Amino acid sequence: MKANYIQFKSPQFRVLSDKQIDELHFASLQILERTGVSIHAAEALDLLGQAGADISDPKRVRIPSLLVDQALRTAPKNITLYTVDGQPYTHLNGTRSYFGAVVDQPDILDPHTGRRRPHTVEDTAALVRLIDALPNMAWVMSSSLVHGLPPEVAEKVIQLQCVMNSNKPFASSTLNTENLKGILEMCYIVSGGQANLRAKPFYVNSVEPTTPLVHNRESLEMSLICAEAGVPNIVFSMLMAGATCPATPAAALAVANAELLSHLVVTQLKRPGAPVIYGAEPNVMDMRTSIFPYGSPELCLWCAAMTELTHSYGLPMFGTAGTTDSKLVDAQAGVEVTQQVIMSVLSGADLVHDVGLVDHCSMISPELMVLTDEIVGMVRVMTGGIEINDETLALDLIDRVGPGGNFLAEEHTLKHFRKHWVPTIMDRSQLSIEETGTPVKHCQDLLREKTLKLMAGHQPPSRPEEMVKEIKKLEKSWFDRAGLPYKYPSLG
Amino acid sequence: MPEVFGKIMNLVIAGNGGELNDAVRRALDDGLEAGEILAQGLIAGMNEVGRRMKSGEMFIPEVLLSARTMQGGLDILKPHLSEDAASRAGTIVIGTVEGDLHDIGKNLVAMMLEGAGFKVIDLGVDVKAEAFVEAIKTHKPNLVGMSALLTTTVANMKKTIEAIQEAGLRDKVKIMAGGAPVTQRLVVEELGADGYGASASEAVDRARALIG
Repeated sequence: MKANYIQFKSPQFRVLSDKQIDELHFASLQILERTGVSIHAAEALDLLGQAGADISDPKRVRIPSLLVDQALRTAPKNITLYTVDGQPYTHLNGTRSYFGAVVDQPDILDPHTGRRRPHTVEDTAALVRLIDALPNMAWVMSSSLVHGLPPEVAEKVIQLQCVMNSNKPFASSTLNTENLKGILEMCYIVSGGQANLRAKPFYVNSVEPTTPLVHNRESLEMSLICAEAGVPNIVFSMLMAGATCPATPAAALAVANAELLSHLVVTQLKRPGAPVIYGAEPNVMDMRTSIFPYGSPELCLWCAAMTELTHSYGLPMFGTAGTTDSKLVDAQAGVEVTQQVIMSVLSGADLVHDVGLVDHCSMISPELMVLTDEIVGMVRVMTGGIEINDETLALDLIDRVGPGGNFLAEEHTLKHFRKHWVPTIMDRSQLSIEETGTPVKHCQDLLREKTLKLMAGHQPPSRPEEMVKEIKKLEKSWFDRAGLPYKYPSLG
Repeated sequence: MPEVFGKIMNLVIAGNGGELNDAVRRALDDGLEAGEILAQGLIAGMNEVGRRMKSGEMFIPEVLLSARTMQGGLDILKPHLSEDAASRAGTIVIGTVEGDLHDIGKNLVAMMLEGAGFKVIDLGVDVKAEAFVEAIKTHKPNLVGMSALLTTTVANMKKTIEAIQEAGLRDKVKIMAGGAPVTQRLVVEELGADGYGASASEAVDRARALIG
């Protein structure tokens, strides 16, 4: 045993120094005390006023640093998400990055045809099953976008697909308090009541401020419901540098942090200890096309910085990776996703979302999910450590084999070679079609095959019959209330 | 065409407000017609800016600088312009629909349309259907523009169009819609609107095409 020995288990990565993190923190406190935030929900305004914030102008509520300090102290530093059937699954405490894929958008890039088409409820179910099958996808994210159903019904139906097709935890970017209550009602059927869900949460809500520095009514009201119910709540800001915040990253981070801290204050005032997952997507605005470019290198760097700021508070970071501006799963997609995954893993972002989104978030691609799953596997290996000990140095073996010898048949090789990463969709074949006459399967062919195979073959977990009956009864009530026939619309 | 129009065009493109204002005043002093200065100098300049924006040669902050520069020139011309000349391109009532506070896209479109010589009545954000209807009655625009960023609020676009229909005003206006969750298919097939643009740079062309 070596004395005073330190072994790096991963590359050591820092974007910001401790002092820089302090500077950003103080800048956000200044924003909150000087500029303030706009608060659109009466209860939140009230909580802030009672606690000593200046609410004389609800469009510029000024929050004293003391409230921020208190909120940071009470916010939980160790959140665990559970599987739907009650097993601890993702530990959000800065030790590992958990990647989650999105299962709904207006359109889907159909892996059978390679074409874009409207996205249906059946597609969502198939995508949830795909995520269930992928080893490096740990959770499911959704919103409310399927063909043929109004968003209020669609959103709840999508959450139901999450529960029925996978055990992995799931999150939704919920529309409003009405829908949140509906989703929770379904979750309580599955968990067997509110207390069980609070103890072993498998569902997470998600809200966003309206940058810059505006907290809209729905997001605040949903957060207050989550705080009370003990449902983990993601709050994250999306910023476009030069548009919704200044064009410099330090300002983007300070603005994001000010929004998040003020939101945190509200939820902790409602219930100290309410679980919050903290995050932001500070990014450039593409000044030629006006989009929020998910493939930008800036997004990767600035999210990594945000991760460090978030972790300095002891909070879990909601990161972003696995998404491309390309309309295809092509070289551009590969490049953009890989830089995102690398930076997410190196910085230690905890709950990393958006896997599978193509065409800057307007389309979902199962092939991109499978590609990202592969990339995550690769990056985990790439960001591991190197263990140095007698076994791994193998000096006796080196001496025995001697100069000019080979290690292929050695027991040591047999013992250790299986730890080397093996691709499932990268082409490493030796000979080309010119030489053998047999067509080589390129990455895109292997990717498509694997995607179709997983989508067809994976068996979802089963749920008890009574539970399914009750959930379906609830689902029918959603359709009834919306005046719709109880069936999933198909493509006409 | 007088040389000064070309000069004014270039000053708009360059975003040089100080020199542009001087050039516009001099043109007026030299007896050139305000409406012509507007059309051949200012709007022509913004047309070129729009073309360069679409081709990626000019970036949004530069475009906005040009638009502000153009506005400065327009303010000098206004007292000399006849009522129709001031809004010869058309009039649009624009707003972000009820429940939605996002406005950057809408603001960009408004600025591009102003630059193209439209009269823009910007109703702001979180605009109820009734407010759109009132604004149409008051301002009698050719166009109505609606923006939304949230998927929920897209439903309010439909509500607004229905309100306009109920008020008997649907055939008096052309309706454009835009925003991240909105697509061509959605706008025309499901909402019953007349036009869609994927970005601000398309907005001017679409607006002109709708007015015809």
